[in-house]
Amino acid sequence: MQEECVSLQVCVSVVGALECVVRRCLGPDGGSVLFTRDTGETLITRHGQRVLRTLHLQHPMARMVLDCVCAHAKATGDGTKSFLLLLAALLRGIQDSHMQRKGSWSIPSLQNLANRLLAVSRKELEDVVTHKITPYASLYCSHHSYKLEGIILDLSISGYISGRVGISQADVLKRVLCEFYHKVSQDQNAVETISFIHSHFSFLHTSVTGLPIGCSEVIEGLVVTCDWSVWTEPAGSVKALILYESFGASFVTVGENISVCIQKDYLHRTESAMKQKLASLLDLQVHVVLSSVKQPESVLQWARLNHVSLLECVDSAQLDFLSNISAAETLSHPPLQHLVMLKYCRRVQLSGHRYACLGTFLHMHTLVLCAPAPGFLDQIVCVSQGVFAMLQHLSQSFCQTLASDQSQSPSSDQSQSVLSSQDLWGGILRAGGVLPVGGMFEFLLHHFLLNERNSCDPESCRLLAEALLCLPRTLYSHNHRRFLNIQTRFLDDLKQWDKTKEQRSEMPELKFGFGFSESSVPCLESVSGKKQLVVSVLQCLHRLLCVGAILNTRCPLRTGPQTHSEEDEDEEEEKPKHSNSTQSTDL
Amino acid sequence: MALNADDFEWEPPSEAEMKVIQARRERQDQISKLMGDYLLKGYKMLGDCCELCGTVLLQDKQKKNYCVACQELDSDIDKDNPALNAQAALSQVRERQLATQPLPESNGASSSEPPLSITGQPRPEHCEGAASGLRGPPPAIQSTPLSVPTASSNFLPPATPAPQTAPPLGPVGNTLLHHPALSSAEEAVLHKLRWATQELQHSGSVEASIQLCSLIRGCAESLRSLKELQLS
Repeated sequence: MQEECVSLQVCVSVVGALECVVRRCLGPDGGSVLFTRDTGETLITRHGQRVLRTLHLQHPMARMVLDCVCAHAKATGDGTKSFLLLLAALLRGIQDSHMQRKGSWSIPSLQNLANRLLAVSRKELEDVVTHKITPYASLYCSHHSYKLEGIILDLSISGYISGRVGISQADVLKRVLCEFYHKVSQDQNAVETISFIHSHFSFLHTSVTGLPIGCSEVIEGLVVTCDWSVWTEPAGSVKALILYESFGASFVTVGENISVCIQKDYLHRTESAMKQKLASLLDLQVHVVLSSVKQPESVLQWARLNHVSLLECVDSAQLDFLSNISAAETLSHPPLQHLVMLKYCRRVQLSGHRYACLGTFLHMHTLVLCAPAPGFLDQIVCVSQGVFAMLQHLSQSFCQTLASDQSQSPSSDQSQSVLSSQDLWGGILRAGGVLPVGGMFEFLLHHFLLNERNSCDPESCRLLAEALLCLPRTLYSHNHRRFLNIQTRFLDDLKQWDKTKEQRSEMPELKFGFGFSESSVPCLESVSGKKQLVVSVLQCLHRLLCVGAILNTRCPLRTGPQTHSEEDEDEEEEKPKHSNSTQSTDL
Repeated sequence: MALNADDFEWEPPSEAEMKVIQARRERQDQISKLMGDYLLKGYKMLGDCCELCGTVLLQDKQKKNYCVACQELDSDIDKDNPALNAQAALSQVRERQLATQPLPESNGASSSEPPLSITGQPRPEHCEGAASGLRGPPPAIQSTPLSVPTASSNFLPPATPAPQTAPPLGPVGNTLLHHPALSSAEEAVLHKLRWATQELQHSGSVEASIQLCSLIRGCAESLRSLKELQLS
């Protein structure tokens, strides 16, 4: 049937176009994309998500794929470009096998194939990763443990960063990020540290343009990106008041009409009320006021007279964060005010701007990231955020596997449930949670999927295995012969390892060289992250292949449960914008 | 999940099919690459497909729709259509000649041994399909001696070493018996076509090339209308 073939062709062309866009940015040798606007603004980036979001995409399939990509990136912080490459390779593989069959794909058989691939992701992939790849990884790590012990974190961060920023910048960024992590982790264990940094990264970093990246540093205290309105250097620890509303009079609005009824002495009364409130503050020995709104001039004057430091227009989310970590005391009256104890208050100068720096008793640190241009800065911030998202995913999946292992064997030592800092990284090393970067995971998965003996769907496994090689092939696209050399050597090593493993004799030396000598250490990447990438791609593929028809609607649909007009056909109603409506792109 | 019964009937594709698959894959890759480049230039990917070829449409900043495949790449199927492409026409002729190989003998033509071509090259029987159409000269001149006695003089290449195109007299020869005027018209057009192709290969200027291309197109259209006349 013509329709179904067309829909597969449309999938391939849409995803193929997106793949061609991001392919050039993949890997350490990838380039950047330069976007320009008519106003003269430029954006240079190689961050996959950024590049994709900046494109004008109206096709509903393209937008659906973009949503899947963003959801995956949010979960793992990794693999936007690899996602598209793998998806495109899978679609081409399906199209090739369709062309090789003399019959045609009908909708049910495409859906059937999609379901089968999804089943592969649940069963065979899980089996291969758990029983083949993870033991290989733990064996590799144990062979090289003398090199890897203690620097797993560094190597994981290097592995993530090296594909996303230039080499010289990668060194600086890695150093800064590791320093930041170690400083924050002084009070808590590794898992909590990573989770804390990941969830509060927006408050824990400050971005500064105009400085070279080497000026990035870790500052003690919480940096707020506004300057003190009234500044008096306080001595030692101070009590601070956090408030979210103005001291001045506020009008109560009823509906949309404001009726103001000013009495004669209204101004006088409000002024005296304010003075009373401020006096009560002095009674509480508050020396710092942190306000999320702008305060009236009289408050500023009062602050100057009484040597109270005042910080205005602070982000209210940041104030919430501060009150949470400092165990703030909430005043009963007036409401919306908290009292916190601050260790110190400072003024810092970053690239010509003066910012406030608040020290808490909890040893808070702020990561200051510098870059010469805004686009580059945005990329650095995204990469840093992604690092901690990746680490969070790694530690979470490790804890999950640990928990599931314990539930399966309850007689094991219960003290393992308490993870201290050393145990997390050591545990990950022993459990085979990391592998060297550069395609080792793809080679392993390809090899094991093709040789999976008790698989119930060898054709889907073959499709997936063939498509997986597109990733290392693109990574080494500048030197194809090198790719083939590496692949051949690695597969020979693997076969040898397979044989000796069965005989339980001495293990062969496992080397995975990408130009690395025996003395140098390879960068690492997370096995669970890679597995999640494959699963996400297969889920997105399932969504794409199950689209039966695309209906264009004239008016926007109401948000809510999607309605299906026909029961037998699996449709997705998409909402394309009108062609003459403006589409805003944020650079 | 029950496997499809079709899965067990799969047999590996033949070489010709592999070539087709390969060609289609390359074309698809080229389309994707072009589309990716345009997307990066700021074109918008629309939700519609082109009616002719089914590729996703792009829209530039002036709100003009643009189909990458139709505008930039040669059509996938047009190059095989003999009415639109001279080479396709000639390759089709050659294929038919090879298919009707025993017929010249049964016709009682004077060519019992491989006839010498205009340039003296023997008929390449080992060549297959389209490629041979460009190399070997057709022996069909001898197969219809009654119809075009003066045809041979028309096809002498003007001092060029290798024949660029082969005059398609094979299939035409069967119907030539009906309309000599049409056949001579066709020969003349084909002669011009071949001459234009040769000129195009050696042409150095853009203007001349454009004019030669339009001449070739005109010849192809004339051939098409002549064929329609013959078939009607």
